Amino acid sequence: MDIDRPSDPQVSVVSSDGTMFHTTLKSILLSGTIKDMIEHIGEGGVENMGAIPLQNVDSKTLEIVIKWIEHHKDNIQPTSEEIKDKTADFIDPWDENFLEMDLDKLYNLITAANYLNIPQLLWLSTRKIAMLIKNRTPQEIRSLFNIEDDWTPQEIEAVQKENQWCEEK
Amino acid sequence: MRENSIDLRLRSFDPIEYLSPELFDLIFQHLSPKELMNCSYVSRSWHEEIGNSQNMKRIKVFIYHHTQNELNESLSRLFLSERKYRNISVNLGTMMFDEKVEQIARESSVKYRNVKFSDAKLYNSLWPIEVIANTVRDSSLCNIQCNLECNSVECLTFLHLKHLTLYKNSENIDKLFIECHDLITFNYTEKDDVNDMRVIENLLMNNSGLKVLGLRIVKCSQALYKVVSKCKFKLERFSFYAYKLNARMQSDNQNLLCEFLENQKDCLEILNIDQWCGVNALKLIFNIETLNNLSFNINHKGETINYIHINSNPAINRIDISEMIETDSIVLSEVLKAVPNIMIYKTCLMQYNDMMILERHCPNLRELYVEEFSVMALPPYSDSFSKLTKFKSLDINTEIVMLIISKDEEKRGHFEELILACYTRMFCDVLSSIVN
Repeated sequence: MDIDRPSDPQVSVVSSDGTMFHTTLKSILLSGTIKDMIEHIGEGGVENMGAIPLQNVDSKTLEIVIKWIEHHKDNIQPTSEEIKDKTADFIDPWDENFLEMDLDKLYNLITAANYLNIPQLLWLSTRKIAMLIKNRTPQEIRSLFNIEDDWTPQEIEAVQKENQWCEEK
Repeated sequence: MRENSIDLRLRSFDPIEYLSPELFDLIFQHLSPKELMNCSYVSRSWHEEIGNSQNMKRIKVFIYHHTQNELNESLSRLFLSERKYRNISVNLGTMMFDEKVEQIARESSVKYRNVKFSDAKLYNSLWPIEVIANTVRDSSLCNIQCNLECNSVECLTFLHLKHLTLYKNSENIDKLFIECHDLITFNYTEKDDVNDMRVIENLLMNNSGLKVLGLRIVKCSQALYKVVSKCKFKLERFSFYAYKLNARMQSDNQNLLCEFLENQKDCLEILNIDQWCGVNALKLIFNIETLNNLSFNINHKGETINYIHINSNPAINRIDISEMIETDSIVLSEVLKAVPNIMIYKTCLMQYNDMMILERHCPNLRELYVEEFSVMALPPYSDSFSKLTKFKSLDINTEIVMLIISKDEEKRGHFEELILACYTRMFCDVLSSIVN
């Protein structure tokens, strides 16, 4: 398949709840999963291909994903191997702003980015959760996510003793 | 995040409930080990997930206590812990591995199947052998120093070990490593009462990728020489000490060493050897173009140890004895015999005999650098010093220095460079005549 063709053909995707979205081939190829699918179709198959069904992504989440891939379609994306060594020295302000969303949407986005194999989006969205956790006490983290404290004092003491052994590598 | 849009009173947004364990784990890749441990306090399920996490490999556990009771408590807790630690170091110090703790370790050892004990941490901290059996097999580096008698060792394999140091172990421990094929470094110190070197000979035969080999053995058998000389490895560094040694190698062994050196001449960079290996081997050594660091440690006449450290030049016209030691005159003359074209001689300490030997064996000496003279009586003036063009002495022994640069103009060399630390009036007069 010639992915460098001058014109950027339209591609349709359908969410799990049956909503159809239109985007461009260049954008959708940011998804490793869809890229593999399209590559299997072979030369010239894109124009004749029908809408791609995405059973694991609902329409609200797919809309968010499409917004992200269309914004980043011209950027070089790191592979999942490259992303392992990535450090967060610079985050695109557009991405920072983009990820300002409710927690349930963020969790769905993480799951979708994983299913669609978009390493950069998966990295950014998991980082977003990590940044919420960072520098908070355990009680603050419980409050943030509304988690019940189910420890007994004896159990907490045991964890404290184990944590005393642990040091940064 | 628009936290105000979340009704915290009604719904839990615990990521564990929304994300698969793999995705939950990905969150923690962005956090430091300290923050990871902090998160384990959040809830039981967080503690469990984090304990099973791939991120645990970033956590290093170090256990050390001053009292036996504290140690027992920590070890029991460690063996019963729900976390899958991957990097554990225990320093037992002088304390014992308590029987009760050992029992717990035995019962929990299955859980530790994938735990790696890190490198040299076994040094003083031997775990019961059953635990090691389940843990250390993946480690790439192992340094064991113990006199532990191993009983149930058959399940131990170290197939992919890269670096191995064995220090005075029992033969049973040596045998644990017989399967190794990927060693890059192997250092071996023999126990006094071990005579069977077949395990070590096998190891050397099997590890053709070896780059660094250090052997400290009681008395090198001819069989071991034969093995070393036939091995396929190409060493960068070879250290060889035999501590019940004869001052001189037997001639057969000298020949085997020559064979070894022939094989290593395009790779060896550092050679430490403590036996007088004969002029032929020495000639080979000085022709090893890759060699940049050579030391001998000679036990001459079975008593004094004389050490000579030579940074040899590839085109060996230069000797640099960089240690402040008294050179053995026999060794030095043998060295100079092996390399007769020395033009540059540099030493920290020069003795009377050294000057005589230099005169005898270095007719082409052009440059002489001496930090200190250790000369009781003045040697006669030597014509061979008249060829010197460069001389540096940091000693204030004026008479010796004047002997070398010579008061007599006819005998004096044509110096291009003189660096001296001598201050007498007469000496200055001589110097001014040189300058003029």
